[in-house]
Amino acid sequence: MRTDDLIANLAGRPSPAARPAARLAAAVFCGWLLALAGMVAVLGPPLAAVPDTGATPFALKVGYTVALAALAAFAALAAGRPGQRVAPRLLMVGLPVLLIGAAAVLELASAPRASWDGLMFGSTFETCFLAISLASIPLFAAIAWAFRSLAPTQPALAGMLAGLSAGAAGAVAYAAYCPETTASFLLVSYTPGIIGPAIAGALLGPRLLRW
Amino acid sequence: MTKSVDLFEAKLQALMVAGMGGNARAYETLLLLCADRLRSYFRRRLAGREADVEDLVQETLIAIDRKRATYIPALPFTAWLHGIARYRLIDMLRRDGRRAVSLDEGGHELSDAGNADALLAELDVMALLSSLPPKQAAAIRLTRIDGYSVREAAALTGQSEPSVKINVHRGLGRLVAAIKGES
Repeated sequence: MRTDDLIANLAGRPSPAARPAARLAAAVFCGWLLALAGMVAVLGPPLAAVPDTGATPFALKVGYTVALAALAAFAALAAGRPGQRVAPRLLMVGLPVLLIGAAAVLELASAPRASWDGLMFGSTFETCFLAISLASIPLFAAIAWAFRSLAPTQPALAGMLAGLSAGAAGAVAYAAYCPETTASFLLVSYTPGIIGPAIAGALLGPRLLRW
Repeated sequence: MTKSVDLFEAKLQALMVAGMGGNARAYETLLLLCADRLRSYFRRRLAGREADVEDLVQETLIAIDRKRATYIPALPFTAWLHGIARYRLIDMLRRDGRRAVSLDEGGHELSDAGNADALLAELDVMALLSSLPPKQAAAIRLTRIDGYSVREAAALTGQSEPSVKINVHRGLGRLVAAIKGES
């Protein structure tokens, strides 16, 4: 086919109504609902631990993970638009981590060294890690689906950010169950469950996100 | 100089916005301008491979069309276009690399410069394929021309294995119908 014919052909078709940003947001939300449903099935009703931990630690956990998930998804969206710079948005993802990191350092500095393990790992590190990792699976699948309407030109980076969004959104769901109260726990025990999916995403990206 | 570049950018952007709003003429003008740009972009990088250049121009135009919803007016249009062109170029070179390897193993049959008939036939096939929906064309190209297995083709295109098979089947059916209709 001649290129001019191809162009006439393409121009003659109605434009698709795809809205990639809305689709990504919908995917994160649906994936999150699935992740939460999974946790309800395994861990029981959510928010049961909130009366014990108090509202403030709960709000801190939700605020931190929601901020992380939103900023990661924002960066992932940029990675799906050709020609858009990802680096500034990637730096913004570090912002909530920096804040929680500062709070954790203050917390650890004012506590005796013997109690550090308890502050960082609590009594539920394994549950936290497993729950967030597993929760990220439906989220990652949903986000990878949303990426079909995007055009990632750096698939490994896009996959990493998709995984990071999935992990962080999975952490939002787990925050409704987490019985721990310290910023150190939030920093040390939540991070592996969030970074894991990001690494997996970076490895899967070049295969899954090709277009 | 900078000013004329800015003007060109502004023009492309206005055409794209109009095209996304449903103005088919603006969109056609935009694609024609893009084709010129792409041709010189790929020519500089694939010196002497004129057929590949035009192939790649067409592939990239299809990609622009399929992915146009990823454009937002806040982005410079040329940056968006360049991003897609670069991705398609890398993708083609990668495919090429794999094909060259498999040809080397098979003993240089197609890369032999004297074998012009085979090359011409290949070009005809490419032209036919470009008339198919992209998914069918990709499935046929990968499984029947580039020699990937159905499974590899599924991984490369993001389609499931059954849908690769269905796309090959339907695409071949369409090609047969198209050829019969022509003659």
